[in-house]
Amino acid sequence: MAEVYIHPTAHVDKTAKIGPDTKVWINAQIREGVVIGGDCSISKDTYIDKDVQIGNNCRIQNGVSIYTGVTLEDDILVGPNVSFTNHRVPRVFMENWTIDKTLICTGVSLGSNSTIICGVVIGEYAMVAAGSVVTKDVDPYTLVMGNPAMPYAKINREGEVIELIDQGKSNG
Amino acid sequence: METSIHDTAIVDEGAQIGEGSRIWHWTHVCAGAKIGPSCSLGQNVFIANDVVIGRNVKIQNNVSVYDAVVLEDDVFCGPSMVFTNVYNPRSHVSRKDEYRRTHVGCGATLGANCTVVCGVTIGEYSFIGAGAVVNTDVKPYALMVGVPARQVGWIDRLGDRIDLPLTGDGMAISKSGRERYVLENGICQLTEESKNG
Repeated sequence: MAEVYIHPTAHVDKTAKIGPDTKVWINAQIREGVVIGGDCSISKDTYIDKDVQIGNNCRIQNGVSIYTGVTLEDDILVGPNVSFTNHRVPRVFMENWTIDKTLICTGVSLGSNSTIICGVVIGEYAMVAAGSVVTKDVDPYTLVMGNPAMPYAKINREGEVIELIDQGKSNG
Repeated sequence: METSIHDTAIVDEGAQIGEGSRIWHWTHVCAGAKIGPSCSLGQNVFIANDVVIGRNVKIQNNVSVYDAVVLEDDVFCGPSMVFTNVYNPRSHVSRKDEYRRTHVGCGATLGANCTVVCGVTIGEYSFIGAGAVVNTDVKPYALMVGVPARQVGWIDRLGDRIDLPLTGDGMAISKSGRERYVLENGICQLTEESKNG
């Protein structure tokens, strides 16, 4: 079992727990209370906020921000510059910052530069196309795309399209 | 609160930073930048020279505020949102004398991963949805979503929807019950007595 690798420029809080074989790359910041499983890759410029939980074998690409309230299960791909949020209507002068939780289930892929608005559940093995804005729950084994993201196809674990979804019939 | 600049941040000599502002990991502020008090600049933020930022502005991770951008007080810039300053960039053509100015009004919210195409004015307390692409001026209190961004409603100072039509005239009380908004000829305004109260 290999050890955790942390690049010398990364900032990892001493209270964060990181599993075996996980690699943390250049200028990544991992904050207090974060738990990350084994075999993960936390790429350059990534920010992982306080108390975020990430499972095993996740690939977080460059420039991703994961905020408190977001949970990632296992085997998840987060594409470059994906943004999560944790408040639906942020105003800087607000005093009560409530956090809406977001759950990304096992096997999900989030495409490059997509945006996940907080309060949603993205079901297992679902896929979000590049640049999409996810505003509501995504069913398992479903490919969504666009702004707002709409169901496009049923897919399998490997991400192959099984059946297109009729846009007129979908309740998306 | 004291001003804090993280060890890894680079603040060029001459940059003005107001009292109580916080500058986090790997952020770079250029020499000509003017930043007001009580601001927060997250991880990997970049502030260019010809930039003016008011008080209590919160800039989330990975945002680059380029030359010719002005942010008034209380503006929120969501993570990885994008400003631009050249409308038709070509790598082989220098357009440094063709910057188009972008002005973001007081209290506006720019959602996560949204894009503001240069040359626009974003009205006070307007709200740009996550991932939207703004390429026109935005009215005060307007809620904008999509690509290109379209107005889908009105939103108050606290971030609650205002029950008014997109065009015409009308009057509505905010969800909090404390503010009164008047729509006149498609322009939404907070009444003077609400501002003072």
